[in-house]
Amino acid sequence: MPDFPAIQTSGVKVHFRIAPGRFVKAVDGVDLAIPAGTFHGIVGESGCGKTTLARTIVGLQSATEGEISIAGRSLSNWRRADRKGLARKMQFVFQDPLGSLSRRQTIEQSLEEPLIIHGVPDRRKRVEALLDLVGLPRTALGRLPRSLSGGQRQRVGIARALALDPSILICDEPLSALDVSIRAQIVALFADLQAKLGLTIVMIAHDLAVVREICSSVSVMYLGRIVESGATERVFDDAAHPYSQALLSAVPSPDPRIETTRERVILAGDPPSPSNPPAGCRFNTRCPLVFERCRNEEPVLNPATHGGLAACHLSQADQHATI
Amino acid sequence: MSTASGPIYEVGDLVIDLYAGNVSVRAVDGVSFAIHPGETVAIVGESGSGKTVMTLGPLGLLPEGVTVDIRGRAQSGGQDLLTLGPRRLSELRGRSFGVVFQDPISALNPMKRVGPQLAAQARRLTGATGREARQAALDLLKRTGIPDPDDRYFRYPHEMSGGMLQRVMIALALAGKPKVLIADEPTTALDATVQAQILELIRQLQREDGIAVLLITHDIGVVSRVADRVIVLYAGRIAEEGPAFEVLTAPIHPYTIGLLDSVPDLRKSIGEPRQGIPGVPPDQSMLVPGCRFAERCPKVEPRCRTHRPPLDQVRGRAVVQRVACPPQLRALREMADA
Repeated sequence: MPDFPAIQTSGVKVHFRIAPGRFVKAVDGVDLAIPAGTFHGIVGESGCGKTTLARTIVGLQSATEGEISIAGRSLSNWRRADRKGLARKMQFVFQDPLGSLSRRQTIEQSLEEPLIIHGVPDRRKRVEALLDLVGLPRTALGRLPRSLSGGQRQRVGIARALALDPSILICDEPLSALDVSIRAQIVALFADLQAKLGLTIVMIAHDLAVVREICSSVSVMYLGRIVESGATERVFDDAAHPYSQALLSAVPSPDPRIETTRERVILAGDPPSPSNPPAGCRFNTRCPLVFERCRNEEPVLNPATHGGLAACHLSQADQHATI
Repeated sequence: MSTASGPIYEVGDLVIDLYAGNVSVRAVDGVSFAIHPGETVAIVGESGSGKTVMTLGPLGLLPEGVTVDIRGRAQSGGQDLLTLGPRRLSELRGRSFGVVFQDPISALNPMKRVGPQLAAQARRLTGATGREARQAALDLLKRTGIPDPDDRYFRYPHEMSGGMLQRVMIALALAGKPKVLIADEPTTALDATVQAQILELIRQLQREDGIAVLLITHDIGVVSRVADRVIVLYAGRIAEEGPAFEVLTAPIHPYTIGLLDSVPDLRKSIGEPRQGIPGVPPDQSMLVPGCRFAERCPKVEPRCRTHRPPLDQVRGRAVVQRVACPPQLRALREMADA
C-alpha cells in the first residue's frame, strides 16, 4: 500500500460571494489527512461547512484556495488528466437518492449507466452483483426510484456509487432522510461494505451516536474550521474542545435512566453567521470558558489529550478544560 | 401531574381516511387517547405512522388539497371538535390549542415584522386592545427567551436564526393562552445545541403555566428528555402506550422493542451493529385484517394475521401501560405465573 493518505486537504477555503465585498466563508482553512481504509465522520451543525467540504473533496464545488489530493495526486491534476480514473477512484453518495437518481430511469438503467460510460464488460453480471452487495432483490431492476421505499432508494444510491468499484466513498448525510428502523439497516450495510471492500469512507453526519458506532475517526467542524479530530471513541469520551463537549452534551439519551440523571450543558445563543465569523476563536461568542486571548488570537490544531488534535487555547497534549 | 381534573383533550375511536385522486389511505385507524393538564405526552412513530394526521386532523389543520374523512370523537372543554363548523373550530383552536410547527419560517408571514404578527394574533385571540396586544407580544418574546425583545419586535422573519424563529413560533402558539400546546417535530429542523435550548424552553413554560404538551416526534432522545407519557404509533394504530420511563426501559410490543433497538445511544458501549427492523411499513391503502406489524414481527403467530390485536392493559405493573400484542401479553402472564 502507498503511504500517502487517501484524502488530504491543506488550507482549503471555499468562499461564496453574496454581495460586493461580502463572502460566506463556508469552509475557511481546512487541513485534513484521511488514511486509506478508514471510516471517517465529519460532524457539526448546519452552516459549519461540512457539506461544502465534502462537495469540494469530490470536485462538485471548486475551492477558493488550498490543495486537495486524492491518493497522493492533486485533485486538479486528476480532473485535468484523468477524469474517468478519478470516477473509478472516488464516488459520492447523496443525502436523498430521489434527487440524485433520474426519475425516468429504471434502477437497472441507473446502475448500468456508469458501466456503459466506462466500458465495463459483463454489465448484467455486475449489476446483479451490485444488487447482492447492497441487499436489493432482482425485482428492483425494472422499477423506478419513486416506487421504492426510502431505505431501498438509498441502497440504490450506494450501489450506483459502488458500480465502478471505487476505493473512496464520500457520503453527505446518507442517513438523515431515513426513519430510525431503516437507518439502522443502512448503518449496518455501510459497516459491512467497509469491512468487505476495505473502502475509505468519509461520512458527513449530524447524528453523533451513529458516528460513534461506525466511524473509526472523526472531525468536528465549527464555522468553516475543524476544531477537533481524532479516534472517535477517544474524542467522544474525552473531548478537548468546549464546542465538542457542548455538542456531545446536547444529544439526549434514549434511555431515561441516563437522561434524567446526567449533567447537561446548554449553550446560549446560535452559531454566528459564516459571513462574519468572530475574530480570534470562532467559538468565543458562545464559549463558557472564554478569556481575553480567545478574542484576539485564533487557536490552531495542536495535539490533545486523546491523541488527536484540538484547536483551543485551553487544550494541550496533557490537559484540557471542561465546561 | 394531576389527573383529578380529568383530561383537557380526549380522542376516542378516531378514524381518518385521506383521499388523493382515487386512492384512499387509512392514516389513522381507531385511536383513543387523553391528555391531562400539566402533562407532556409524546406521540412517537416513523413517517407514515399517522402521528401528525392524528394530532392535527381533528383541529382541521391538515394541508389543503387533501380530502379528509374523520370519524370518532375529539373532545375538549365539553365540545366535540369533530361536530363544529369551520368558524367555531377556528375559535376553539385559537383559545384552547396552540400549535408549533416543524418549520417556523413557513408559518410566519415573511412580509411582516414578527412583533406586529404576534400582537395581531394576541388581539384576535384574546380581544386585547392594540396597546395591550403590543405589550402582550413583547411579554411573549421575553418569556420565550428572545434576547433584546424591544429590538427583535421590529425584525422580519428572515433576519432571525432558526432557533430564534422557533421561539417566535412558540410565542405565537402561546398568544391565545392555550390549554394544550401541540408541537409537531418542533426541534427536527434545529441543530443539536439549539434543540436542547428549545426543549428546555418548552419544559419551563409548562412548569410555569401548567399547560398540557402534545409532542409529535420521531426522536426517542427527545421523548426520553421531556415526556411523561408516550404513545407509540405504527401504521395508524397505537402499538403501545404508557409512562415514558416504563415504555422506554421495558417495552413490550415487538415494534417498540425493534424501534428502541434501532436507536444508538451515545452513552452506552457499542455492541454488534444494529440491524434495524427488517422490511418496511405496510401499504395503508390496503385494509387488511390482523396486526399491521405482523409482516415484520419476530413474534408473529397465525392469529396475528387474522385478528386485530386489542390495546390491552398490562397486568401486574403499578402504572397504566397498554399494549396491542396478545402474544407478548400472554408471555408476560406466563412468566408471572411461573
